[in-house]
Amino acid sequence: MADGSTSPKTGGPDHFELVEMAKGLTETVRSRAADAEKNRRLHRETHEALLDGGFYKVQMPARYGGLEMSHRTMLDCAVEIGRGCGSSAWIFSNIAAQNGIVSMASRRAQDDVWADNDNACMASSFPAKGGKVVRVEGGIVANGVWSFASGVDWADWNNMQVFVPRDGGGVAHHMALVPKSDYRVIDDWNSPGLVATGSRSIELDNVFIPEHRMLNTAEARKGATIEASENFGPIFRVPPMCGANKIFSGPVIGMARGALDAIERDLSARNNVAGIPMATLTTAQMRVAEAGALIEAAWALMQRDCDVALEIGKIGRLTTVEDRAFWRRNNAYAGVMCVKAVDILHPLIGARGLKPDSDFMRAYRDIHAATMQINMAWDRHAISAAEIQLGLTPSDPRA
Amino acid sequence: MVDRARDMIPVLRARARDAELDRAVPRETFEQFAEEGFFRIHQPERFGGFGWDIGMMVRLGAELGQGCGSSCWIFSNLAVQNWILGMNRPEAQEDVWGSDPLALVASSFPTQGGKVERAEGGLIANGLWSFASGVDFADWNNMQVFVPSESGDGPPEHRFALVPKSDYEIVDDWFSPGLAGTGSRSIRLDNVFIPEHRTVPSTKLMGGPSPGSAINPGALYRVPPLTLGTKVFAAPALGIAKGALALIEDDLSGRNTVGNAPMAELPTAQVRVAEAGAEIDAAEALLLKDCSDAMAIAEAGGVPVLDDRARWRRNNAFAVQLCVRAVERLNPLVGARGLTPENDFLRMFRDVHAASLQITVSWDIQSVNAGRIRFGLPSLDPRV
Repeated sequence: MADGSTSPKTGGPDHFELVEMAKGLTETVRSRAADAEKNRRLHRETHEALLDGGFYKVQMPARYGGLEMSHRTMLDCAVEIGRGCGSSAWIFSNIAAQNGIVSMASRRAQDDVWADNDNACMASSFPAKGGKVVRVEGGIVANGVWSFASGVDWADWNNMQVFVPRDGGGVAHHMALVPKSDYRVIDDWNSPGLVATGSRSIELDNVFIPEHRMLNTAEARKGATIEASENFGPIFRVPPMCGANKIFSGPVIGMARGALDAIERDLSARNNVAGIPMATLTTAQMRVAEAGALIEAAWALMQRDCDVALEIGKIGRLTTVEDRAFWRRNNAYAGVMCVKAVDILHPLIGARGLKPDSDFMRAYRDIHAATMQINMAWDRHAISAAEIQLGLTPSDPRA
Repeated sequence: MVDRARDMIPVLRARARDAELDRAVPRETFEQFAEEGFFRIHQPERFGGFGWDIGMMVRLGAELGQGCGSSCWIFSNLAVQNWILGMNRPEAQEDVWGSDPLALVASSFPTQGGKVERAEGGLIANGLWSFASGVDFADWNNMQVFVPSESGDGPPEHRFALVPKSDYEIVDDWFSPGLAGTGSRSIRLDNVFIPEHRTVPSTKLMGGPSPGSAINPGALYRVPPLTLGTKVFAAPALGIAKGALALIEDDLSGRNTVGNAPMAELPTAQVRVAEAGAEIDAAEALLLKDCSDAMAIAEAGGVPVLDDRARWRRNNAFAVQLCVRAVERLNPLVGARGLTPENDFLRMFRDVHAASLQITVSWDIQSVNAGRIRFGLPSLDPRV
């Protein structure tokens, strides 16, 4: 369906209603964005608006009070929120996506998280600074630092990415859930972009994680975890790790739109030093036209891939390596297009834009940071897709 | 129908070189298209057409263009005129389709100085009208004309004006290096009277009810052809780019360099095919999104505002840019071995560049106007 909706839910908002609610947040988060950046965290009011509005529940199972809505809904909400504040969209997307990922874990893990608290939020993290796990009886033991925990300020759990040693050598990538009582937050997020996400690290000291809170992502990609998760809705058949879920490209499109908004607002009313309206400069007109077209093309591409993913989920087939490689390629390319759009607009801000609270410059910093996320890395995903296009075996183990 | 279009790709490709040399789409191709009903996708149902959404032109064009850009161009240009005629005055529709619902219409533009003047009950046309894509197969021509203002000092009024083929002679002046097979020749008119009811001002076709809505109530006939209908040029560009990518993928998959390294393993080649693929996917998604947005507005009974129309025109031109960039990106992979007159990729390279010169998809022109409108300045083109 063009509206991206899945099965009708009783009582909750539909796709259009949720996206309208997201539009209602755009100006609010924009007005808070400069302060949030200074604080290196979102305002509590922003988190509460996302929580109370049901946004985090967009991909949570209906059984626990979730909305089970499509990847498209998640994408479009992120675009609207990101238009006001990239960091707010990033936190929305990351927490909402974790609800989708935990939906693929065992039923018992889902109960652990949601049975007593359907407002529980999860962040995630990656062992970029060397966190390690070892196998023990009945699970794993984790030690060290896990980083990039976007949403950690608001999360009750962390769904860590872990590399579990295999008996015969090598490692198997898993998601592993730990409650916040099991880790300590380290305030090490001093990034020049997406500052307000507060994507700090967590440190674990000899923490045991039981097997049932672990999700083998290769199994999830193959659809082998659906039975145990007891979530049979179409969105859960096309898991986030397939590249179908636009966790990062949604906020990126929003940031680019926010940058374009700022330029259009500014130039519509500005004269150059000779007193000529900036809006009459042909070069400025071409810049806003190309930026606008790039952003809309990126958005259309992501919407189309979301719709295709939903169709696949509805007919119940499993994703193929081709599906996944092209979704990842297009996802990264949407990022390339949006960064290009912002770079095209950049000269129009002029020296007057060189101030800390400029909406455009914040979007510029944010989008360059956001596209560093490995799922947005064109250099990697271009090659994976080309290998498929040219009949080679994919070299990326996540393919 | 999309499947059947896809099935035709190999045969269209096999005939494409001859079409180029002949400067005409082969009659058997035209007849196959007619038999499949391709030209009738947007024709009103009351005259036996399908009245399908405008996105269907993009979906069919994306297939047919992979085989032969020129054949695809003839498909889209004849199909779009059936849509535009569905928006025309009911009497004009009756004149064309009343006795022959399979009648086809080409269009033309007075770049070589064709002129009309006002006359009692209609217009008089004299001179040359050019770019009549589909003229070899058309029974009528829906000429673009600029009617002098009644007072004589105002701007001329842009209209479409229908003439039967008995009213013009075809001038064989199509010697283009790209889209050669379209045979987009000129027509010459000598003192031809065109009754008023066969003319329609383009300002009546800006979205919302058209003159044809009186007999064709569907949403399709409330969508503005001059901004959304420019898919007629973008759809072939999309098909051509897809065909060019498929050729390169096939070729590289089995080819080694002079140093005997598999070409497919060269990272630079990989980045080229990946980026071209993403550009083409983005172009297709953008074109289809605009079609569904426009249809959604029309189905809800709404009228698209200037910002919508300007955005569609801009996006359409940008989609063609993406296709051109994709083909240019792939071009170095052809290698010197490809430098032959019959090379399929290089024909596609010529064709996509020719397609991109059409004024409504010309990025230089459309981007400036779209930017102006975003800044709240008046449109430079009254037809947006």
